[in-house]
Amino acid sequence: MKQRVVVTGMGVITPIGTSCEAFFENALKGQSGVRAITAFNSTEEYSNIAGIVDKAVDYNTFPEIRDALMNKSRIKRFAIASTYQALSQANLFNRKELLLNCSVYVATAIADIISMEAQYLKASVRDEQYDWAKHDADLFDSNAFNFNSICEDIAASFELKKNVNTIVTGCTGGVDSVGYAYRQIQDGYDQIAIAGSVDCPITPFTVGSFSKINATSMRNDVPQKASRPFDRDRDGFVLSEGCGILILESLEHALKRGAPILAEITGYGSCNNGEHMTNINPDGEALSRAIGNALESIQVNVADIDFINLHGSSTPQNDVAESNALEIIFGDRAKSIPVTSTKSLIGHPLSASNSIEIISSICSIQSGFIHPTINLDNQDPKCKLNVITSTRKRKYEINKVLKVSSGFSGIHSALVISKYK
Amino acid sequence: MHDNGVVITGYGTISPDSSNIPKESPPSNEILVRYVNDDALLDIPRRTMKKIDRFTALSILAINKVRDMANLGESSYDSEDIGLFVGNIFAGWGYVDQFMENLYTSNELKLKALNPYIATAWFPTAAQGEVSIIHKYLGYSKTFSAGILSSGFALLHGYQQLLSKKLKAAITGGSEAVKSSIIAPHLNDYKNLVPYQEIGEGAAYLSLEKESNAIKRNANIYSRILAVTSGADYLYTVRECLNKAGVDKIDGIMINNTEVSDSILELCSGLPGNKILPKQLKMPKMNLLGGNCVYTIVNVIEYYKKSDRYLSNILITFDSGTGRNLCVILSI
Repeated sequence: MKQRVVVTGMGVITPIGTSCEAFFENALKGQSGVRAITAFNSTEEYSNIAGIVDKAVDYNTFPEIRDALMNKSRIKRFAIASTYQALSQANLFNRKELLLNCSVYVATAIADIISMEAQYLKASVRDEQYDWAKHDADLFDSNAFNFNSICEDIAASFELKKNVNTIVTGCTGGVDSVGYAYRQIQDGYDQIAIAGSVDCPITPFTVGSFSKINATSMRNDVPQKASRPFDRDRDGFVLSEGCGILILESLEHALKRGAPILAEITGYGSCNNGEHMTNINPDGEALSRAIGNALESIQVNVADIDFINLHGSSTPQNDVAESNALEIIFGDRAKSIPVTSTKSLIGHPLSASNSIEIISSICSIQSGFIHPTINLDNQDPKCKLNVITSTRKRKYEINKVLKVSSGFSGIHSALVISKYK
Repeated sequence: MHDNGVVITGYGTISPDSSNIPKESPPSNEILVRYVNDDALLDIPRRTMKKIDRFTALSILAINKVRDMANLGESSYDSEDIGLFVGNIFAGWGYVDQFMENLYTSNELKLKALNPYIATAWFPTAAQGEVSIIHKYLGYSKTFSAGILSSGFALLHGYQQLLSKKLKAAITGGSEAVKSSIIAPHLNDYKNLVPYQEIGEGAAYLSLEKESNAIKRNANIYSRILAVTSGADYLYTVRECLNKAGVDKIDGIMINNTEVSDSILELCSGLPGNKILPKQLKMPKMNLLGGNCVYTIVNVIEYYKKSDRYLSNILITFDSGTGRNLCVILSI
């Protein structure tokens, strides 16, 4: 028998808030977390802006987990601090007996790239060139090149004793991590798991690589206006950093221990488009298959979806493909379902974007509010969507949310999150 | 016929050939690292090689072998019914080596020195993307990184998706390429992993199908997978695997943690059908990192194929060296 799967804890580190409350409050205000990169000098011909977490995330701000955060790289501090928030909300922090059977299935697109790049420089005797990374790299972590090392550190920090497996599916990683944990619990292989995603990609190597292929916005002069999903004048995504962690449990397990139930995961689908490593076909057919699989897996009537948190990356191709995919699935209703893009606020923290967006969606289910998509001055006529842009709080009855995601390697994933009843 | 059974209908590996073994032993504090001969990569068009790292190239080559062996052509299944599950630890640093050098060549960052394919060649998801494009594998697919259990988790998840009927066929395995000045210093962390004597780059993949489907399309069956389990407690993981497999005897065991081999032998000897002790098989001496688990399974199948000792239940366990385990029971 399939198990019902619920969310019992959440934690985030984002450019607009380092707790779920602060993040969602600032999201509802339409606050942007995008600013100029100052850590290193890029070239004016390349994107030089990013969503940056200004607030310190260290043992001073999270004294309860002082030892776990001590001497850790930036990405590991983000992952451990978010996991701590989630475990605390789920009443699991320091509950060692309950964590013995907890698995870690967190995703990352490019892992601890700050430490990797800094270690390369250190080994190449270019000491003067890794100044930008000094506070955020772990120059002595020989395991930094292992993509599983962040999950291993989460497991070690909280004594999580079951499986440790990193989902490395790039920018769809957050949805895939939650979807993977959902299937593992649904099919009875796990009772409880840490899911979510983390990335800290603001390094010369990453900024340069994405700029080289014109994937990122060049609005260096107006950073906060740069991420503008569905806008006619959008010119690419804005790189960002962050983390979102969720505790997933079988309903039975959660009820037995009296855990707070924040939402239920009710559907997941994912597929390859098999067409191109970076380009997304604007017809939206492949993305619609992932959405279809997610809806079909629970036989959801398309009319039941109340709100959609889109990938909304602010790239010309993605936004049109999403609009067309929704039209394939929802028909005329695609134009009226409320949709939003969290990336308009925080930029695109690669795999971490999805888990932050899932958490934002759960906050919407709980509060009835949807955060605005900012910078939508002139909606692209090819994006035939009901994009929420107002910061005036309007209450929605939200029972089922669709979360959509696409990434390099031609992967499309979708998740259905429901109000727990 | 086991309607719910999952079978292996093809396999393929790319690993270092003997010509690449250095004549001199490495210093005692360094592990021997062996590389795939560059000639093996000539089968991939140069235009493609410009855009991909070696670990993706190795995946492409190994999966080509799997497809040939399993006769898994385009007409076998709908593209959407075939999934791809890949394991990898380090991503594609070999591709990046030269560009990193260029990026930091002077005190001023030379971002323009980067290559346009880095963004899609370097990250571990590259193999899933490139292979899915080449062979139009459009079904549910995932890439995992779990140390030397990476391809084991790929196998486990592919197996689970067949059991739950979300896919009809799955290509599962992993690959690793370590020919990079950036990665080389980090391989020594793996030198203490007994019983491996050397690290190899390479790839190993299996094709998995539901037994009923495989029989229907007259595919060769090389092994049946009776169970795959994972967990932190070694004995619990093995016990769970034995329970799920529902076997009354184990004929052979292969274990990469010699400290627990007596306990596993004892556990298997206690099965009602085990009149004699299971045969202890030797692990391959080469650790194929991200492809290690599936590489080992292929070695076991090959061993039995050569020895003509079929209808044996084989238990294989893998210890990650970080306190995690994966157990597989095959019927060959």
